[in-house]
Order: sequence, then C-alpha cells, then structure tokens
Amino acid sequence: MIYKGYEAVVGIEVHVELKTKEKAFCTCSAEYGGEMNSKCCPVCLGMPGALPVVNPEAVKLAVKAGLALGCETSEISRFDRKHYFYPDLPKGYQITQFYDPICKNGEVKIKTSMGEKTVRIERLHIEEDAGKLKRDGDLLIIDHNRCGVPLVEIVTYPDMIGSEEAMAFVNELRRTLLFAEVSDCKMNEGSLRCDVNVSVRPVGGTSLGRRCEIKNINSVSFIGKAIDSELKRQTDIILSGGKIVTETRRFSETKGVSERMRDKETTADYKYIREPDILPLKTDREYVERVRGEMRALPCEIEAELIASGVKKEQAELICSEPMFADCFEKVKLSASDIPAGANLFVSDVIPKMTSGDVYPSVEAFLQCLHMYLDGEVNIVSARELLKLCGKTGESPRDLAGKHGMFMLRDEWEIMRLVEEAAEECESAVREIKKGKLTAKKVIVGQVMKLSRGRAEPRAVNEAVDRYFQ
Amino acid sequence: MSNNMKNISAQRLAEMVRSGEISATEAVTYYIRRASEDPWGAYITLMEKEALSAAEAVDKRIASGEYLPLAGVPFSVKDNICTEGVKTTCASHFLENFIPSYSATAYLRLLASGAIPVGKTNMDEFAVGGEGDTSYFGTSLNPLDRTKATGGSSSGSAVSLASGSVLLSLGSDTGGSARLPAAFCGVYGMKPTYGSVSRFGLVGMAPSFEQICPMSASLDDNELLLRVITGKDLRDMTSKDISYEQFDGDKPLRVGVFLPDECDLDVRSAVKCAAQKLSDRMWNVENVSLPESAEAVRVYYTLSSAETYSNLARFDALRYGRMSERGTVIDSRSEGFGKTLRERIAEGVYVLEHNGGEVYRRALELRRKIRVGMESLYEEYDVILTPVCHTALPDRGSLGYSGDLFMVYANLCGCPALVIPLGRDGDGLPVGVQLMANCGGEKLLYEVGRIMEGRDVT
Repeated sequence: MIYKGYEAVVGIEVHVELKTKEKAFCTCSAEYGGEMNSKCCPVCLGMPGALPVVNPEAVKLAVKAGLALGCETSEISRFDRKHYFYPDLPKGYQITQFYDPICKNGEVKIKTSMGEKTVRIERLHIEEDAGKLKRDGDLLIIDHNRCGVPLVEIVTYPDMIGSEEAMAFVNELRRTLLFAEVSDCKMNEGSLRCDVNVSVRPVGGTSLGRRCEIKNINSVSFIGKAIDSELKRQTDIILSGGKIVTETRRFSETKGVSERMRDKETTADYKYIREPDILPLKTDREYVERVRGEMRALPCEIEAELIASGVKKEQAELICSEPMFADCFEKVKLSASDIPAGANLFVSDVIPKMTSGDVYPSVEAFLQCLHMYLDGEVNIVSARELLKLCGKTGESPRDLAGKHGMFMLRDEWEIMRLVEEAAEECESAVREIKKGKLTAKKVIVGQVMKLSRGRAEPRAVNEAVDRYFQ
Repeated sequence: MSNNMKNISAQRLAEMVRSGEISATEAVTYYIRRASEDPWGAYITLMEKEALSAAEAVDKRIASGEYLPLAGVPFSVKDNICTEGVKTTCASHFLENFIPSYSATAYLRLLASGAIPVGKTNMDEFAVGGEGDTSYFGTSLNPLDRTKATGGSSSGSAVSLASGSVLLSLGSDTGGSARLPAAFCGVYGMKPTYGSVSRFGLVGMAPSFEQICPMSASLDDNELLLRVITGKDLRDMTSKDISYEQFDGDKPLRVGVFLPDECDLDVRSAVKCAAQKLSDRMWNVENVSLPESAEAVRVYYTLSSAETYSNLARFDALRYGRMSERGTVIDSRSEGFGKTLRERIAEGVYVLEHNGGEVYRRALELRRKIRVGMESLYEEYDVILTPVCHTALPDRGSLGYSGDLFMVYANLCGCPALVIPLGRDGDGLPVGVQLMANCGGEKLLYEVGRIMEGRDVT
C-alpha cells in the first residue's frame, strides 16, 4: 500500500515458543495451558537459591530453527540477563542471549504480487517466556505456567516494504518453522507473536525514518492492518510538519489502529549483564551437522520438486502449506508419472478433510484408491466417493467399491444388455442411425452411461454400440 | 562428658559416634544446649527439633552398619543457605518468615554424611557487608572480645565455631565473607575453587564470585568438610568435579609473599613468621606483588554490586517475602531492605546504566586482566601467602572497605584461598594469614597450612 506518496518500511521481531517437553531452565512441563500455576517450580518461579539449568532440547530446536532459516550457528553462545520489573517476570530479569546469540545471518524468501524477494534475518536467540497476567475484578492474578517456556526470538532487517511483504514474510516464516518441527506456531495461542517496527518514507526512498514498534500482534491479517494504519498515521504527521516519536505502541483489534504504550526502551534501560549462573553454550560444527541430519526438507524445496514433476503451482503450494499435508503426500510414494494425478486427487479430496478435521483416508487407502482410478477400475466420481467412505468406515476402497457397485462395468454381455435396453428406449435415435446418421450413436452411448449410473467403461460402451448396429 | 566435648575435633567426635562410645543424640543434645544458651547472637533460627530427629536417624544408620564420615557432628548453616522447612532469612526483614521448600545441595550432602544441623547463623543482610552489622537481627559479637569486630558476612558461622556450639559451619564467601570472620574469630575458613561446591540453594548475591565455604574450628576438619560438600551437581551448571593438585612432600614449593608496607606490626609479624616456617623447609620464599592491586577492590565492588542489583531484582514480594502494608513493590523493598543493601543495589544500577554500561564493561576487562596476571603469578609460585586484613583485629565498626584487598583476588579469579588463625597480637588475640593457590590447589593449601602450624605433613 502506498499512502500520499509514502511507503512503510518494516522490520519484524518474532517470538516463537519452542515445542519442548520441558521448560528452558527447569524440568516443569512446557505444555500450553492447564490449571493456573500447576506447572511451576522454584527455578521458574525465581525462588531465592534456585538455579537455571539449560534444557538441551531447547538448544537443539533453536539450532533447527536457525538451520531452517539458513542461519550461521555460533560455536559458542552466551546467556545474559535483561532486567525489567513486571509482575509476570519472577526473577526481575529475563534470561536471554543479547551479546552472543546462538544463530545469525539467515534469510527467508518470500513471494508477493511484486515478485520474489529475500528478507534477511539478523539474529536468532534463545530466551525464556514470561508468565501471564489476568484480571479478576480488582484482583491481578499471575499465572506462572508459561514462565520459563523456551522461545526463540527472530529479528529481521528492515527489508520489507508495506503490509503485503510483511504478511508474506510471517506466513513463510511460520511455514518454514512448522516444517522444521520447532514450534506449533499457533498465533492465537501466542506460540508465535510478532512485534512490528514501522517507519515511513517517500516511495522508492533509501533512507530509514524514525520507527515505532507495535507489540504483540497475534494474527497475520492484524499485522497487515497495523502496518497500513501506522503508514497513514506517520505519513499524516510528517506531511503536517510534525515529527515521529520513537515509541512502543499496541494494536487495538477492535479499532483497527495502534495506540501509544510507552517510550521505546533503550539498551541501557535493560541493564544487561552476563548470566553468571549459566556457562557458555557450545554448539560446535559436529553437533550442528548431527542436528541437520535429523531435519527433513524445507517447504520451499518440496514445493519446487513437486512443480518440477508436473504438479500445478497452486496445488504444490497447498500441499506445502502444512507439514501434515506434505508428510502425508510424501508417504504416498508415487511413481513419477502418477504424481500430478495423485496431487489432483489429494488436493481435491484429502486436504479439505484434513483441514476440516474430518477423518481422512490412510496413506494405504489413498494409494489403493488412486491406483484403482489410474487403472480405470473406478471413475473419478467413484474414486472421490471411495475416499470419503473409507475415511469414515476404515474399510479398504476395493471392498467398498465392490460393496457399493462402483467398479467400472467392463463385462461385454452386461454392456450389450444395457445397449439393447437403451436402443429400446431411444427409438428415434435408432431410426436415425439406421438411416445412416452415425452421430446419433452418441445418444445411445449416453443412455447406456445413464443406465449404468456412470459405471460403464466408455470405450467398451462405444465398441458395443458399434457392434450392435453393424 | 562436656569437658570431653569442648575441644574435640569433628573427626574425633565422628569416630566416637561410629564406635558407639557416644550416641549422636547424646552429642547433639550437648551442642543444642550450648547453642540455645549462646550469648553472642550467633543464631537467627535454632533447629532443635530437626537436630534431634537427624541425630536419631544417624544413630539408626550407624546401628545398621552404615559408614558416616561426619556421624553426629554438629554444624551450623549461614542463613543464606536454603534449608527445607526451616526459615532462611538472609538476615533480612524482607525474608523474615521465608521458609524454602528445597535445600541447598551442600546442606543435603552434609546431612547424608551424618552431620547434624544445629541452627541457622546470623550474617550481613544478603551477605552484603564485612562486619556482620547489617543484619536485621542485630550484630553477632566476637566471643574472643566483644569490643572487637566479628567480620562478615558469615559472622554467625564464625561465632558459632569460636563459641563452641558447633564443630563445623557452612558459610559463603563473595569477597572474603567466610575468611574475614574466620580470621577475626580465630577459626578456619576456606573459599574453595569456583565451581567445586554447588551453589544450588545458596541465595546468591554476586553469583560469579561466590561459593559456599567450609568453616571449622580446626584445619583437618576443614578439609574433611570440603571433601563432603564438593563435587558436580546437576542443579548448578557452574559446578564441576575438580581434579585437585596432589602435594608431594619431597618437592620444594615456591612461595610468593604479598605483604604491603601499610600493614600493621602484628599483621607483618604473623605473615613473616608463617613465611619463616616455609623457608625453614628450604622452600623458595620471595616477595611478590599482586596484579592491578590499586584497582582490584574497585573492580570487585563494581562488578559485585551490578550482580547484586540483578540477583536481588526478584524480591518483589509478589510471590514470597514481606509485602509492605502499603501493598507496593517499591515500599516492600525499601521497608524490607536495610540501608547498606539499598546503597549497594543503587551502586549496581549506576554501574550498569552510567554511560551505557561503560563502567561495567571496563571493570569486566580489568577482571580479565587480573585473572591473566594471577595465572602468570601461579606459573612462578605454587602458593601465595598474604595477610587477611591490614590490621590485626580491628575494633567494632572501624573496618571499612580497606579490609578487602587481600580477599577479593580469590573471588575475582575463582581460585582457592584458606585463612588460618596463625599469629597472636599484643592482647593474645588471633591474627589470620591467608594462603592462595591456583584453581584446584586446595590440597596444597591444607598441607602448607599444617606445616605453618608446625605439624607434620599427613
């Protein structure tokens, strides 16, 4: 979006909750939700004398996230303390990696209506989440279940112009991290949260203006709205001769605009010190390669492969939009020539069921169904019906096809019987054929198909009709 | 019985308990009585009930044939070391009624070895102080002379040993906190190699400097206590198994002596006398200077106050601790924390905020330099002998910051340092000397200490 000749320049900080079993620095469950304050211990409550111990699973997932985003991994990274007072932060500081993050210098490739573009990742570091505050009348209730849940913070350069690119970035980042299996990336549950930094400049400019940060936006469409409204707000201030104040803002979902929260903190406000309770973290090359070996292909790679084997672009995109779809499709293990047809059926009849949470067919059932269709044993309508039924009943498509009479009709005698029946019903067409108007045979063929409820194999019907009128 | 018990060593008492000469319960009853009659203000909380049930358990374990290295030995615990179910106040109004649900690893290891906890000892509030006079519960007095300084921050631990209500004590040392009171009260204090004793359960003041420390009434007991509490703990990432340097009696050691001119006469003669004992063995004894000695104390205060600010940020009274009647975090902190502590926290804020943290970064760089300087000193000398303090036994309230110079090196560098009450001043009161070695040099220090005490090498 361009507003009065100005464009928004956007950099994003993304907080992603890692899906570890345990918290970052203690052995409490890191699972979302649960009874309030049921998942905490002296360590994550910051009780005096309790000490943090790094969860190796969190380190591994952070490295996976870094690798998925094409980052370099540091052989040695360190933890620091970031201080601020807030009721949901039990120690009065957050354990994070300020000076020496675990990963640096990555990138995410995005596609928008303007074409392809690379958004550079400046850094990715491990930190701990804070608790949650809830109001109950006059009471302020602190729920500590989320305290100490491991996060990675991913920081981009201000490489995105306008809301479309920013939204494309978040979608692509989310997809990549889902495929790397580091997080469930549920924006509505807060396991992926975005802080968006926005400044404005005349379209096509190169300099960066003063920025404002809009914190904790929890859906992709709100990110777009927040950026567009911020573009208008800042542009109007500049055009009316005002100055942008560097500040922290929050997005009001009801009003669709951002509101001022506070002045932006500076580094000194957080009084960073090295975390003396945690030794430097070693992630050497051997370790990183071992982790890399455990990772599957990235969605952009799978997508490119599918397109190369003849799958339509939109279908390839859809298959690669969720790891569940891509995994399932990958397990089908089709021979190269069958991939496009398989993708067709998969996209039209399996993915919708997966998305709506319906029971969907097993890999074996899908494969059997697809081959029955490709071998001409059933038609496409029956194939789709079978996929629906086998998802529901768990029976094999072949059994179901037999039970519901869905196999294509190929038996010559049976087809001839239907041709005879059709000929009796379509006297005028028969007369025309006998007069030599052979195109009227189509009427008979159509009638046979109707009588067989579409099951008659078209070539066999054509041959039978030819024979009948010889 | 009481006469036998008065000057007994922990090793001897444990032997008697193991052999059935005396039961743990009998022994502990004696020490509990002494502790409950303590007129010096050594204790904040007595653990009579816990002691008796622990003693009973020890007697059962002995009866079942278990070997317990510290069977029935009474010990005290500095009140910044967490003890499950027992108040751990850090001598602060803020934690006046704090009862942890967990115990420090070092404390648990002592219990496992058969030792019996007698009480929680007085200290400077949150270990910030050098004289034991910032405690919310009042100052502990020096049993040797109540007009003299007790030293801090582990003041109560030293007093409990000097007055004979326990034989061992767990103190902590961030910048001399175990060694200074040990020297002033005439007992032994070892600041071990950083990481050798788990800090889990120690209410930290400046985590990169401090260790839980063995304090004792005799040198051999100190070594025994260290052996029991040392070793890697999965709950403290900075803890590790240390491979200790072995002492070879046939090999002459190289000894560096750091003795600035401004030290008073009693101190000079104690250090010189100790040095003489070592040169008598034909060891090479030379005068040395310590790196950055004009800056070391300032570096220590700069960095430790920054860490103190950070470590005490958690005390917002929302989850535990004393909430002010006004109901705010700020009021809870300003009412709950004493003046010295509030000043130290303010210094920490200044250090971290001023000039964008430039002061803090410069101090970090100097700390690195001091470490490098000490490393190269240890290449030339096996042990370094220093005073504990410029003055022998100062009067109460007269110490100030100057006392820390000899103490801070071991904390800045993580190396071990042992304080031995070796000399006597004109009034017959003890004058401590300090021995330092490179990391893992604890055994050397104990052996050299024995030589200085004029005892054969064991």
